[in-house]
Amino acid sequence: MKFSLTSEQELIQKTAREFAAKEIAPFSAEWDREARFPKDVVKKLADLGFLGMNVAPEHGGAGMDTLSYILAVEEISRGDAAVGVIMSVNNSLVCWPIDTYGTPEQKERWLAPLARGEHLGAYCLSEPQAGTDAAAQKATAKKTDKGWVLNGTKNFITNGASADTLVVMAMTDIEAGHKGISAFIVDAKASGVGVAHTEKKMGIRASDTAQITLDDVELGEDGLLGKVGKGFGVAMSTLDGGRIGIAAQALGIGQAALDHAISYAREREQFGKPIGKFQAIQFKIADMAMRLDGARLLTYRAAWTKDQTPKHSVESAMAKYMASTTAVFCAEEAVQIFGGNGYSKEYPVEKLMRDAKICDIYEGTNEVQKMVVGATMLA
Amino acid sequence: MDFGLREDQELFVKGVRDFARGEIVPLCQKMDREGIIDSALLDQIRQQGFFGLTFPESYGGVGLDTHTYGLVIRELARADAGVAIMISVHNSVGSYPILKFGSEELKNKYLPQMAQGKLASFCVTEPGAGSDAGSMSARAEKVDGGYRLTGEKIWVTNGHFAEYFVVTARTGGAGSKGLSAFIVERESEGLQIGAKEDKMGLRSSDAISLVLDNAFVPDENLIGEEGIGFKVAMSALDGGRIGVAYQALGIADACLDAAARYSLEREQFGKPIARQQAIQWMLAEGATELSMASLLADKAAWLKDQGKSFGQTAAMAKLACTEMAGRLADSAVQIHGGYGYSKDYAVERYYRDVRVLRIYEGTSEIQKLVIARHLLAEYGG
Repeated sequence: MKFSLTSEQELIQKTAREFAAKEIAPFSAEWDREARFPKDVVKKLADLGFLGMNVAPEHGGAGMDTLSYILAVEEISRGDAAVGVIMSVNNSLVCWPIDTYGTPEQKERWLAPLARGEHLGAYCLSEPQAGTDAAAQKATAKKTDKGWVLNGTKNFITNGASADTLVVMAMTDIEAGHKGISAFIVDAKASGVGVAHTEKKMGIRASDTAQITLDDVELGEDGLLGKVGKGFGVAMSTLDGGRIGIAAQALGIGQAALDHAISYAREREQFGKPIGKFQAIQFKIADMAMRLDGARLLTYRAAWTKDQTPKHSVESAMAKYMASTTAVFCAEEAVQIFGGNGYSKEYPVEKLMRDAKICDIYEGTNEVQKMVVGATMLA
Repeated sequence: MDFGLREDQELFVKGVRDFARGEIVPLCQKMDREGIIDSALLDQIRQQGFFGLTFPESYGGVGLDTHTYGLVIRELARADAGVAIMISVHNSVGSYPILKFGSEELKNKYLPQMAQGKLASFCVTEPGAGSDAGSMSARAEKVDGGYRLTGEKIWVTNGHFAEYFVVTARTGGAGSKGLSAFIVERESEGLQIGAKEDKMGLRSSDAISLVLDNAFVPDENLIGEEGIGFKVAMSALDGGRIGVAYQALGIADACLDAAARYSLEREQFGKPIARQQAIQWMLAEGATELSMASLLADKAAWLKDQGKSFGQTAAMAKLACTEMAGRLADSAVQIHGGYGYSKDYAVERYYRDVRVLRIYEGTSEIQKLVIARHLLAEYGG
């Protein structure tokens, strides 16, 4: 084993950290308050090559390994988790499936602008009644002479109102259950694609989350991504990778909570000395740091495993489950250490607690992660 | 980063696993009941070179790196945590003080014998000095040609069999700077070995108390110089904690393995209990926590092997692994239900064995103090 980073990975980490400290963290509270999608910052992420990090240079990407990408998401999320998820969705949930399952023509048309950051992507799997039970899709894709017609409603779509390109799952055979699902690439400006509403959320408020409606959306033959009936596999393998991105996002939140907690514990005085001199506070900090380091190692291991083998579901599920649990734990402890100030929007930690909670839920709830781990163990 | 094992590591570990399954597992129940290691097994362990694992080849040892050594302790603990701690104490806190701080003369005199299986032990804890190790009251009085040691040491693992005792005692004033470390031989006049403790678990490993009554130790058996005893002890414990972390991982492996197997066999409500989410989740949570903790241990071992500072990570590893193993043992008993409370099933022993891991070589609370101290220092004090 080896626990050191390559010099290239260290450079990515440093670049992302400095960018987050300068261009993200100072504005994070304002974006959160106004629920404002930070378009300018997304443009700058594109300039850094952070929107197509694992895509080969010939398709417009940065051609880096998964761990480099994960380090970047972690550092960006340390500045603001909403920016982290914008980045993670584009890289993991949109670029990756097109890169993995797309034809050369699809890659040329859709992937290159996404990887260069000229276009932004969204991933449309969830529906109002199909959350954890993702196979219970109601959206349909009917075969026509020229291609396909899509109808349906997609829920909780990150980047939904801002996206140019959508990866969409729909039933091509409603009788066949998960074997009747196929994946498609849809131009968000196509006729029939609509934004029903954007969600008002507890946290990650700078990320836009929309309900997308598909109303007789016509696609050519080349709108199909992968093979007919193989969409569920596309969706699940995509999420296997996406979960590592969410784990990294959670690490960024957890680290921000620890950073703030330690600074505050050193400054805040009660009973005539800094509260960091009390064991009650020291033990909280030690627990936060230990869990964070452990979750970080699980996340980096998942990233490393993904570069070795496509079979990394368990590693990803463990990383996502543990990193998100840790983020929530660290954010709550940070609020506790801040006391009354922790509950105030004048201080940064209440936002971290709100942001952290989504990591327990999206890209597969932690309950789903445990199903993945448990089922694999007992198989 | 690279999360894979080297081929030689895998081979070595497999050899240990086969040995543990073939030779140790059949004796576990008996050793637990009798409260002592099987003497034929002890001979075998000696012959197989387990007491020389971490010793350099130049002193007749195997010269394993810390990581591979940790993996070996994990395999041994998976079979029997008491046997694992016997080997771990000898290879870490019992011998490391000499290896790291001893003179060449001291190393040449003791290390080859230890590597061959003359057992070493580590004597820091006293009735009044547990977590507050710096407050120990054993004294070492300078006399012609050496020192005379007086005091009482407790919880000395391996003491029942040990030939050599690393002992810390006060040569100077109060506090941690007044301490020195010595190597005391079993035959020293004035050294009285007490009875074995009757313990809740880890019963194949012995722990004794000892009394030093004006015991003479020659000058050359001072480890390093006067006044560094606390540093010797703490740096030995930094490494020892990695061993305990791997010991915890081994117990956790055994718990998870037993729980998963049992849950697939045991039927209730017309199907194996493994089909119930309540059980699956205990297993999934356990497996995830186990993976996380093991990565911390591997990282601590790697840092030590790289010659980098590893104290904070070792504390994290010890804390994470031992707390995790405690939870896994509890879940394993719970999954076994009433049978988990019976001595017919191994999980009952795992549950008792694991409890002391959160206590010895620094309680969980001490690990947290170590971690917090490092962290607050990183941020400026």
